[in-house]
Parts: sequence; C-alpha cells; structure tokens
Amino acid sequence: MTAPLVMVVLPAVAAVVGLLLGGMSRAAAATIAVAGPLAALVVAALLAAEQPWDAPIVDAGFHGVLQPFPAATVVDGLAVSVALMVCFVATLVQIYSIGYMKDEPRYSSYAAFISLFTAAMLAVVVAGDLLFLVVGWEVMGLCSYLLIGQNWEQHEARRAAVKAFLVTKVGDIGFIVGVVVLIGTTGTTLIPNAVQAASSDSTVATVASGLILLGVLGKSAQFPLHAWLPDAMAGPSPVSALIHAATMVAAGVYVVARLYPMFLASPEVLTAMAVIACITMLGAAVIALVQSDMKRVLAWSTVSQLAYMVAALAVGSRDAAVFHLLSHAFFKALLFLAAGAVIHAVGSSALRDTGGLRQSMPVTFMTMSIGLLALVGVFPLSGFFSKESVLVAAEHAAEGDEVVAPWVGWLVLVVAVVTIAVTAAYALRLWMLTWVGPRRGEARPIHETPPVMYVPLVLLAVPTLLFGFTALDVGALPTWIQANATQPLATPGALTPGLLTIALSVTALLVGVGVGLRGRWSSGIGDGRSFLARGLGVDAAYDWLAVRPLLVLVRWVTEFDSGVIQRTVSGVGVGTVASGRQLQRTQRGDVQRYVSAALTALIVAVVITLVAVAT
Amino acid sequence: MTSNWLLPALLVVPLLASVILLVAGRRAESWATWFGVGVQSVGLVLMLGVLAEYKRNMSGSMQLVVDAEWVPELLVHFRLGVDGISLPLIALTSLLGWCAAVYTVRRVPEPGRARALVGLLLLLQVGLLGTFMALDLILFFLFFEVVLAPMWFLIAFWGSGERRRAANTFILYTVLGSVVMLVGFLIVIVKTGSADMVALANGLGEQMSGNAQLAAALLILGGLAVKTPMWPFHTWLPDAHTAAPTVGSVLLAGVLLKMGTYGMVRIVVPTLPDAMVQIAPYLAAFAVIGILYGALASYGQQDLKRVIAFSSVGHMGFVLLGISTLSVVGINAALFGNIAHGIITGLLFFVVGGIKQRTGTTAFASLPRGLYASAPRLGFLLGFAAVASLGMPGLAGFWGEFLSLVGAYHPAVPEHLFYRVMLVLAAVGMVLAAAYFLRVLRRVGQGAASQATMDDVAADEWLSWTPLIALTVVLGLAPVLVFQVTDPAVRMVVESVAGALP
Repeated sequence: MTAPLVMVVLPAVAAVVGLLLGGMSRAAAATIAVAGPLAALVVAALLAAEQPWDAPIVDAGFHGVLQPFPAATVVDGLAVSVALMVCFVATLVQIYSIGYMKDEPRYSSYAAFISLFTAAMLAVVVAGDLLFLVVGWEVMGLCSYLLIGQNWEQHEARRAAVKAFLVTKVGDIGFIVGVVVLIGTTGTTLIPNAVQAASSDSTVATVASGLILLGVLGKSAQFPLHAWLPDAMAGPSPVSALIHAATMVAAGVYVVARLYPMFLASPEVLTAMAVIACITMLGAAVIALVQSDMKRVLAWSTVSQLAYMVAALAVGSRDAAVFHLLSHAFFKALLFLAAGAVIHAVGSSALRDTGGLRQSMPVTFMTMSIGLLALVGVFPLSGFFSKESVLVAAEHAAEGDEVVAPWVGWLVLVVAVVTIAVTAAYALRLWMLTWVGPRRGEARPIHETPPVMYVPLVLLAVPTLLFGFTALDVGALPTWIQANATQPLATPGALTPGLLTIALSVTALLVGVGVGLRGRWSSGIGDGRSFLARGLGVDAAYDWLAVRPLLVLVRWVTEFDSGVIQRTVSGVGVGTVASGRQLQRTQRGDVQRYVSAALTALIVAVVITLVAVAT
Repeated sequence: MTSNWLLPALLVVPLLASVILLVAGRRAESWATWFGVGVQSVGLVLMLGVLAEYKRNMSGSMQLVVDAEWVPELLVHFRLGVDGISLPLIALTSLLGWCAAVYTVRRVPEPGRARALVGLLLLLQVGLLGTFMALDLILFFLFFEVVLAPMWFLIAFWGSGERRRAANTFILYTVLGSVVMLVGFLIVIVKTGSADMVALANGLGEQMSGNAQLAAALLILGGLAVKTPMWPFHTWLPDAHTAAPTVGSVLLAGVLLKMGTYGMVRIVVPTLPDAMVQIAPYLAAFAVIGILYGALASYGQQDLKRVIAFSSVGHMGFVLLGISTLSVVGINAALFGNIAHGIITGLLFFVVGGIKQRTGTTAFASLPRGLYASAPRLGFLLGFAAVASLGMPGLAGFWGEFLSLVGAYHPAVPEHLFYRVMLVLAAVGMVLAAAYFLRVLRRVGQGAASQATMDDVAADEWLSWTPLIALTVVLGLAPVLVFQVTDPAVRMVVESVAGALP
C-alpha cells in the first residue's frame, strides 16, 4: 500500500476499532480517536518532506470502470497542503472533543464517526480516480448526517441531519451524473486523464463541469443549496468546526480545484459560478448580521466565506481559492471551537445568554478575537492575505486577463469588497455581544475551559496569525501549490496583495467597523425568527418547490398502488380463482386451492401453446 | 472432469434431506433445525468445492457440465452447468440458505412444526439452485416451478396477518407468469428444435424469424418480469413480504427475485437478440418507472416490511436498467446489483424480523421509537443495512446502481438520448431512496426510547447475519471479486447481441 492510501486507511482503522469495541473505556476510545488523525498527520508530513514529488499519480494499479476498487491516488502540492490541514484540524478536534464530550454517553461512536469522516475527506483529497473520489464524497456526507444527528433524542437534530443529507444529495444527482458523463465520454476514470480529455472538448467540459458544480453547490453550501448548513449547527461544536467549517464544506471547492482545467474550458460554467458566489457571499453575510445564535452567525459566515473561494475559482485563480480554503479552515475551526468553549461554559449558544465573558474566559477571549480579526481580514492575519488574493484575482479578471468576461471580474470585485464591510459588522457584533457589556442570561459561575479544550484553540491561533505570510513572494505556498502540479496553472506571485485591493478592502473594513460600533446590538438581538434571520425564505422555497410536490406524488402513488393496480390485477386473478372454485367444490383446504390454481393455469398454457404452434 | 458430481450433489443433498424429514415422522421435530444447519453446511462446503474447481480464466464458458438424456421424446435433457453469470447467484443461494438455517434453530416462527419448515426450506433450496444451474429450457422451467410450492406454504402457514391472501396472490401471479414464460419457451423449442440453452445462446436462437423471436421474447420476459418484479407486475411483492416469516422474506428478496433477472440475462438476451434490441428501450422505461415508483411508494408506506418491499422494486429497477442497456458495463452492473441486493435486503429483512420478534409489530403506528437507545447493536445494524441499501459508495449497494448509470450513458442500442433521460431519472431515484430510508431511521432508530431496553442482537443472530455484513463491506470495497467472474461471461452474451444491432 502506498503512503497516501496509508494516510486514508489509518483514521478508517481507528473508526472501525472504535465502532467494534464500543464498550471499551473512555480513555481507550479517546486514545484511538486521537491516534488515527495524528498518525495520518505524520504520513502527510512525510509526504510533504518528499517534495518535489516524482510521479503525481502514485498508484494507478486498480482503475477502470469494471476494475474497482479504484485506489489510484494523486500526490501533488494541492493534495499535500490540504491533507496537512485536514489532519491537523482533525487531530485538534479529536483532542478538544475529549473535554467537550466528557459527559456524552455515546462518545465512542461519536469519535469513530469523526475518524471515519477524516478518512473520507482524505480520500477526496488524494483521490486520483473518479470512483475513489465519489466514495469519499458520499461517505463524508453520511458522516456529516450521523454527526449532526448525534443528539438524536432532540427533534431539531433529527430534522437537521435529514435535511443536510437530502439537500446535499439533491446536488449529488448532478455530481453523480457528471461523473458518469465524464467517464462515459473520456473512457477513463483516472482524474488527470479524464480532465485532460474533457477540457479539449468545450461541450463535454461545460456539461460535465456544470453537473459536477451542482454537487459542489450542495457540499459547499452555495445558493440555492446552502440552507442545510445553518441548521447543521444542531450538531456538536467540534463537528461544526471540522466538518461544517474546515473540511467537508471546503471539499466542493477542492474538487473544482482538482478538476480545474475542465472548468477553465467552460467560461459559461465559470460565469454561473461567479454569479452564484456573489449572491451567496453577500446574502449570507447580511443574514449573519441578524442571527440570534452564536453558532448560526458562524454558519452563515462560513457560507459567505466559502463563496469567496468559489468566486476565486470562477475568476480563474485556483491558487487564491486554495489559499483562502486553508486560511479559512484555520480561523473558522478556531472560531467554532471557541464558540464551543463559550457554550460549554454558559450552557447556551444563544447570544441573549452571553455577554461580559472577557475576564472569566481569557484564553477563549484572546483566541476568538484573533479568529474574528482574521475573518474580518485585518493585517497581518491569515484572512487578510487570503482574502486579498481573491480580490487580486478578481481585479485580474476585470482587466480581461482571464477566461471569463471582464464584467464577471468587476462583479466579483465589487461584491467581495462590499461583503468585507458586512463581514466586519457582523464579526464586531458577535464579538461585542459575546465578550463585552453586561452579562445576560442565567447567573452562574463562568470558568475558563480545561486545557484539553483551550490548547487546541491556542494551536489553531498560531496558523491563524502566521499562515498568511506564506503567500508573499518569498513564501512557500505558491511554490507548494504549484509544485509538480498535474495541471500547472496561474502565475507565481498571484497571491501577493495589490495596492488597489488593499485600499478597497481597508476602506470597506473601516466602514463595516463604523457600522458595527454604531449598532445597538444588545437591545435588539431578536429571537432569530424574522424573515431575514430565517434566511430570506429559501426554506419555504424548498418546501413549496420540492417537498410538497414530492409528498403529493407520494400520496398519489401510494393510493394508486393500493387501488388501481391491485384491483386490475385482482380482476385477472378473480377469473382464475373462480375457475379454481369449480374444481374446489369437492375438495377443501388450501393445498387444494394451490393445486387447482396451478392446474387451471397449466390448462390455459397448453391451450395457448397449441394455438401458437398451430399458427 | 472428475468433479462433475458437484453440481448434482448440490441438488441431491437438500432433496434427500427433505425426503428424510418427510419420512422421519414426529420424532424429527426435535432435531430438524439442527439437521437443516447440517445439510446447509454440507451445501456450503460443496459450494466451496465448486468455487475451488471453477476456472476463473474460463468464466465465459460453461463448466462442471452434466448432460444426460432425460425425456428424449420431448427433447428434454438433464443439463447442468455453471459460468460467470450463474456462479455468483449459486454462491449467494447457498450462503443465504445457510444463514436462514442457522437463524431457524432458535427462532422457528409460529406455529412451530420445525420439521415441515426445514423440509420446505430445503426443497426451496433445490428449486433455487436448480434454476441457476439448469441448461435446458424445460429443466429451467421445472426448477422455476419447484420454488413456488414451498414459498406458498412458508407464507400461508408460518406467515402473519393476511397470510392466506398474500400467499394466494403470490402463487396466482407467479404461476400465471411462469405459464406465459412456458409458452415462450415452447415457441423457442418448436421453432428451433432444441431446448439446449447453450446452443440457443450461441446462435441457434438467432435463426428464428423476427416475429417468432419477438413473440417468444415478450412471453418469456413477461413471465420473468412478474418474478423480478418489474413495475407494474409488482403488487404481489409487498403483500407477500408483509405476511412472510423472516426467513421467507429473506429468501424471497434475497434469491427468488433474482430468478427473473437471471433468466433475462441467461436466456432472453443471448437467445433472442433481435427481439431484445427492439424491446430494450421499453424495458428501460419500465425499469426507470419502477425505480421512481418504488421510491415514492416506499415513502408512503406505514409498515417497515412494506417499505423494504417497495425499495426492492426500485433496486430491481436498476438491475433491469442495466440489462436493458445490453452493454458490457450495464449487464455486469445488473449481475452485481442482483448479488448486492440479495445480500443487503437479506440482511435488512433479518434485522426487521429481529425487530418484529422483539416488538411484535412492523407497523410504524405501533413500533416503539428509539431503537438506537433501547437496542444499540440492533439499531446500528438497521442503520448499516439501510445505508447500504440506499446506495452508499464503499458498500455493496452502490456499484450495481452506479454502473447501471454508466451503462445507460453508452447503451448498445441506438436510442442514446432516450437512455440519457432515463439515466438522469434513475439518478433522481437514488435521492428518493435516501429519503425513505432516512425516514425509517428517524422513525424507528432515533428519538427518545419509548421502551427502556430491548434484547439486543443475540449470538445466533450474529452468527447468521455476520456473513452478510462482511460481504456488504467486502464487495463494497472490492467489487472486482464479482466482476472478474461475471465479466467474461457477460462479454459472451453481449457478443451474441452485437449481430442484431443495426
């Protein structure tokens, strides 16, 4: 087995052991849970050390439509950098969970599902075969469903889990059909070969990438398939940090990056991506501004930030997208884990129950503040650099340097800058409502979380602070992502901030901060039930456009089945049974009924045959 | 040629055993179930012998062939053999028979009478294995019929609810179906002068005139479609499943349904290729209607067993879609789908049977909530089987369905655009399948437990279910284990169709 496969298998083994030995002690379960991603992290680090990688496809031994299991893997800068992030965040989340889920009776299966998720995400990252990719993609969705529904005693959790699974699954119709088209037209399941073949034919590229984009919209929570993500906050905070902030929701972006030459061959699809990203980016940020729940603010913020990545892809910069993917993973995982710490201490995630926690939770306060500064994009935190790279990419596109039309670049640039202002406002609101002002909610002593929970926060704060510098010309990241890429793209130095974009984003940021400071947030937290807070009616649209029509169909089919078809067929049967009754007169019992039915049928058969043969 | 006794032995052993139970009288009641396990274990060992003797590199041709003249006046031969198309199904039948026997030891359904139950199960096994081994049309028909009586008794005597009505509906449908099929066979035999399935497949059948082919194909397909069951001939299935005892449901879904789709690949496609090319698009349409209809109806059911029964209509729709493409990928997918559905739905019915035994019901209205809490292992298995059944990649259920779609992208027949529409609709069916299974898990598995504790999975249940659990994972990770056997044989079948294509 090759190194990338080992990296996938290690957390999977941890998952299987965790599930099989469900009755073991907590300490044993925790050890296994942390060992899985940690071991994978070591493998990822070893892979990173091997740079430059000789052959991008490490193992193509077992591929082809009828030759699964298709375990071909790709190892390049893109895969290794994302794999490192996944293993790092997964390890910290598992450590954090030991404290956060201390009183959870089902800890063992919880930790095992996170391990299984980690394996699935790593499979997506290293997959060199479309079928391998599909397996990882769908298993991630399953784990997300299982973990959102961790507290399945609660109605909210049950509902949110099913919603998440089904909404993403709707996108996956497109994803699966897109993969079928890709395999069908190119005749191969190897990703680099299929992508190369597809990108030389613009029709195929448009159809396949358009279909796959549907799956991406579902997984990465983009309009109109985004509404499952805020509800997914019914899951435990560490799950939100790993799956619904750092990794799975970013997997959609990753897959586009992996198949990027094919997307570049279709300006139509890229344009659609840009428009969708702009709607999502600004819309989600505005909705985040009025949320009454800490985790829902962060969830809408994630939707908005994911849109930055999709927008970067749309304007032709895979590197900017991956850069923002990585930096967002660090600061958003940090924010969710910090939110979890607050929930752990306060006992609620509602913003009306927080406030004034600064003194009692200093570590969480410091780290969450760092995370929010990075989210807003304050120099020199990671979010500043990665967001800048998206703006620079949009600027290039607006100048007409990319495959999409200049107006697409302008659109992305304008919306991204406006969204920076909104982002600053909702981040400031969240910060003030959580940490400053008077304490609201029930009075109870608040303590800082135990080290097992705050150490992961501190460890995530480090890349949140420093990761951005890798983007500078002297930094390693551009070289990394490009290193031995199967698809050499973009120009070096594209991640470096530009003067125009810095001016724009700083202005927007200051406007946002101004709005944030003027807002009298604590007097109007609301109950989160306004039209805006509930996401502008998208749920109602799902309901009217999909759920209700389907339920009507279900009713029709069910009634039809028990009515019409039954009756018709019984009618056919009645004739036979009636003739059976004649035979049955002298006999009694069920055996006779069977025999008589069979005999009647046989007679009919002989007659038909005689007629058929005679003619 | 020394091991040719293996296939007859696989039939003779359970047949003799059922005769022994018949003559043994009342005293056999006490040891009948153990005897059943013994016989099925012998069958399993014989099956391993077949696997050992089977030459994988010659999967395209019949192996371990037995040929004896039987009723020469009627051209009937006693011909048995195994190739890549039948081997996986024969193995599945032996395995599920064994699982059912183990399950029966401690769980003879009401009203008891273990001797008769085991005897019938063994007789059923003879019919099922014989159907998959027969190389003569008349012999195939006879084995096909042998299956009916034991299944009728299983449902009518050991069933629950409206068992008589369900059993009678079952027998009525399938007898009518097989009569129609027999007429089709007789047309083929009269027109070609042979009942030899191998010769017919290798070009003899193609010599029939277009109209004769079409008539024979429609009749045979009609009969097989009832068994599969293809929409709209499916209405016997939910009733039969709801009424049948657990082992009955397991074998019904696990093996009986496969006789239909097996017959299509084994007989109709290679013997009557011209007709098949004409019929294929219609078959695809029926298949996709079945996928969508099965899923929607599944969602509307108020009984756990009926949900799974309708899910079978959908899953067999994917198998039919694969066959209807007449392509190498599609037919391979269909054969894989057969096996996967047999394993997974077998497991589902075992688990649901376990739930029924503990709660006394499968109706949502009276089923307790919170199985995950009251019996975590049973709940886990329900979740596992449901997730496998909804086509989760990495488990066995996925590959058959996914590759059916790949087959539909490049069907061997010319109607490409039509098949692509079918492809998309079938993909929609995959999402609907997720919806009704999640509904089941939400209703039965999740929620605060309304019953504090329930007996969790017992040792004998683990023993009988573990092979199915393991195979669900193994075939999900290494579907190649099946494909390497089926692929050469499928290529032979597709080759025989190639001449008929415009």
